[in-house]
Amino acid sequence: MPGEKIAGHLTAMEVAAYVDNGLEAAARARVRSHVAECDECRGEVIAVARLARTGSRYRWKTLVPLAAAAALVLYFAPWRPSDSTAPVLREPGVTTIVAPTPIAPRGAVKALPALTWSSVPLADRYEVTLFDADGSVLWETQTADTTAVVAATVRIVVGVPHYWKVAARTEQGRWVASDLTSFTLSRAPPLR
Amino acid sequence: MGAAVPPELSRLFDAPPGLKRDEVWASFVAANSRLIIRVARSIDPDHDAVMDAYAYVLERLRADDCRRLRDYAPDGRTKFTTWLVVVARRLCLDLLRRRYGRPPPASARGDPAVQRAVRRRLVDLVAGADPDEIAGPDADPTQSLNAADVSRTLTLATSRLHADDRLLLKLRFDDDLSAPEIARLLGLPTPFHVYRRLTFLFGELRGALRERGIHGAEP
Repeated sequence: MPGEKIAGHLTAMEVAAYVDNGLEAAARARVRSHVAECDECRGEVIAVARLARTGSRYRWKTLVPLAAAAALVLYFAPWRPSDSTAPVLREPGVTTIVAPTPIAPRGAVKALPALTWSSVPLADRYEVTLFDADGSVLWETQTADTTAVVAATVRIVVGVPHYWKVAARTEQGRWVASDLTSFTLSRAPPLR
Repeated sequence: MGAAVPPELSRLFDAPPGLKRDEVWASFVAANSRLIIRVARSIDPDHDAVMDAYAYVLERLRADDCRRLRDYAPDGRTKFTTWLVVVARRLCLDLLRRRYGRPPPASARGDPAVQRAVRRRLVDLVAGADPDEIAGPDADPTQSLNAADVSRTLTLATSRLHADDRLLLKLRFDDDLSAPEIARLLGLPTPFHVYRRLTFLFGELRGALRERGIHGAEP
């Protein structure tokens, strides 16, 4: 029954409090220990965290700019009667914006290949950032292509994980970034 | 995060039965409909299914003089909306189970090939296997035995890790969560902390493999 403890599963309050970061350290550790073993509760915590996050993002990051944009459009846009006889020639709309996906390098690599990622529909620019193990930016560049060669001056330390991500610009000023991807060079790169 | 009953709830609980209670219920529904619909859509995106689930959640929330809503204890640990997401989601799943029976466990769902691929990623990262040389169904029997040995040793080594570390590996490799999402769920400051811990754990697991004489993990 919702809100009650069933067969050792987490209660609704425990799940909500964990997601809201409201539990004390001991209780939080107990929940983590439980969800490490219980697929059902782990799935619930993940789903609730996503829904709660979507909700807060939706409220503040979407509604406010949307309201502002709507107000601006209403204020500035000239009114024009629609011409129903004119042919409609346009590309189908892109309804979702997907993030680029890093393709290579990932995991252990023997040599550093060009950074390669999947293309994003209508993207006109990509920004690639390479980080060291501490999260400091080692190198970044912008390109219109879906591949970029890391500058020879960048020092990649053998056996140490490095991270990179790529962001795509889908329209003026709007960027969508990939997750961080790690790779570790298993031997020294040849002199270039 | 306050410890008081949200005003929309206290108004509902205090309203006398009859027309006044109906009015207050209508305002509660108006305030929370978007949230409940979003939860219902996350379970089954079909429009009719969403509307059915939405109606069911509202019906159950109002049943027995709002008994379920009265379960909410405002102790300052959680927001009412987060709690409502949990309860609404459980009710949506409850409706789904009533209609279609209990779904198979997560481990039995989805494309077996995809599941195998997700599990393989941990083996590949730890054992350093070349993805092009992964044993297929018609692979050399020796190669298959080695892969099974690596997998068995890895499972054993993983089971000996601390629960927090097992959870980290499960979130990353069983649930395929991104590092930022894992960082948020585990309360880690940045995704880099996730990557660092993963790197450390890979080292531990490689050590366990080496103890069993499996040396494919050497950089």
